[in-house]
Amino acid sequence: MSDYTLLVVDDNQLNRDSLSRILRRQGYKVETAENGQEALEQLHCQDFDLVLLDIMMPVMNGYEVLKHLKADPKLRRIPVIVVSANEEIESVVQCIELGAEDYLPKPFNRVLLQARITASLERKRLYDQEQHYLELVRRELDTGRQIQTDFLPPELPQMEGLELAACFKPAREVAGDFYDAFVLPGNRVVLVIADVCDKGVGAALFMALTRSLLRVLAQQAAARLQLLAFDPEQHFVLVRDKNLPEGLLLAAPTYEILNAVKLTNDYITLNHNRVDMFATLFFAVLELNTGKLSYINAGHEAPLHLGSKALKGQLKATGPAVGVMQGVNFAIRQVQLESGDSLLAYTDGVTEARNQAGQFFGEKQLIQVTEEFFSERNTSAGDLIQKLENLLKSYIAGGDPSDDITMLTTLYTLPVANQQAQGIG
Amino acid sequence: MKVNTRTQDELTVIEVSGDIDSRSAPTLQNVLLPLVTPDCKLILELSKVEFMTSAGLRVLLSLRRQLPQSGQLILVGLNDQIRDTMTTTGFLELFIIQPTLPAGLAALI
Repeated sequence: MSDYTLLVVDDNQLNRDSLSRILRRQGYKVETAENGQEALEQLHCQDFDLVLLDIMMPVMNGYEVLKHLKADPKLRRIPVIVVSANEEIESVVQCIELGAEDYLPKPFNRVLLQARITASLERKRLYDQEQHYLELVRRELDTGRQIQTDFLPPELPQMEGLELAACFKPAREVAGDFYDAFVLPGNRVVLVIADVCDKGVGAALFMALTRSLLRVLAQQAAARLQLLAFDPEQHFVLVRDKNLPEGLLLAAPTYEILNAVKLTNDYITLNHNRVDMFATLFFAVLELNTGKLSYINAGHEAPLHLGSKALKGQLKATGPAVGVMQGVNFAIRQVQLESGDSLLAYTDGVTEARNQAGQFFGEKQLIQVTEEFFSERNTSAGDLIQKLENLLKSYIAGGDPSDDITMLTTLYTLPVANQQAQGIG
Repeated sequence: MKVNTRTQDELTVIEVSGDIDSRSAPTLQNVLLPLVTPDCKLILELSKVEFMTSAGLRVLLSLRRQLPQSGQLILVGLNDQIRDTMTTTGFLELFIIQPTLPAGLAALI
């Protein structure tokens, strides 16, 4: 006995009975209706797997039934086999055009009947199965996306002398990009932007790992320094590398916080090297009291350092991407932010956004647009992000972004007290 | 993306054309990884690759990590975009790079 329930619609009782008898003998559950109206009523209150439909009927004919079925999102997927006499071939064609699956000539041939019903039911079964799997995948991705959103800061820190704004547009349901910003003791703000290689669920998991490691290691480093018996702000580390032989003097907490990048790289290359994934990232510590921005750029697109009139510099890579090489010492660099300076960090989804002709948005255009923005006396990080977002949207003009688009801007204004102390206020 | 491989004894030249992105990278990976053998000599010819995303870099990283000490891998024909990306991300240091296929062949030991 099969689990399929079929609906036989025919105004002729003789036809109805003989067809029902044959189908029941073949193992189907069968319900009957005398006309289109009755058929629709039954279809609305019971689930059917297939409808065998006569065309010429009183009250409501077969065409009307088909029109109703195909217009109803809940019923349109039920296959309909039109049952008609051979001389009605014109009407059969019309029914097929209206969405009928197949047709059966009268009088019934059992073999043909069985074959057509089996084929239609199999097609429907496969379709239903596919829909079911798609729904499962959709639900899983949706959950993934919700959890991933939780790995981004719910709101950006707000502090005197600092305006932050961000934009995050994943190309798919889950993304490999992320940004982060959090406050640490000593009036410091940590700024992070990152892009995990490749896309999809794998990239999203790797993003969650990288973001969590960076955040927890940076916070731990800062917290542990608070426990020391001496004031960590009075201690300094001299950082030196082959390109910076004279060295760079960093406050101990800043150095320890930046070390989160090295520890994250060591952890990932030791424990997760089999997946061959990596992330390019920019990790900076901004000391709000002094405007000193110390950073590690691990293989990431160089963030733009912008003055109120023009580009001041690009904060180029100081080491390889995180996850590529074990035991790397990432070089640290520092720039001095003046009051009114800003920083634009972004992922390659911005510069590699393509227009319909396939051309990239490009770094040149990005620099030009941001310079224009500031030369027009604009002074809002949020407005800059908004402007770039709109520009990119019209640049790709209706096309889908092929990569995640993420940006983080920081506008620095020296606290008033410091300005006065320096005689600028 | 199209991949064309020519093998002669231990030497295999893999010629890739088209974009290497997250859609085409798995295909490339499936071609490349089985070619890694203890004494393999692989030349990856990329002069007809216009654009490579990080998904392509990931394939290169897999290939590099699976390459045994006795194996050889040379990348040839990198365009400016690919070279820039590999420079920024630190990948350039992981590979032997030659400008052209003849130069690559000459560099094999």
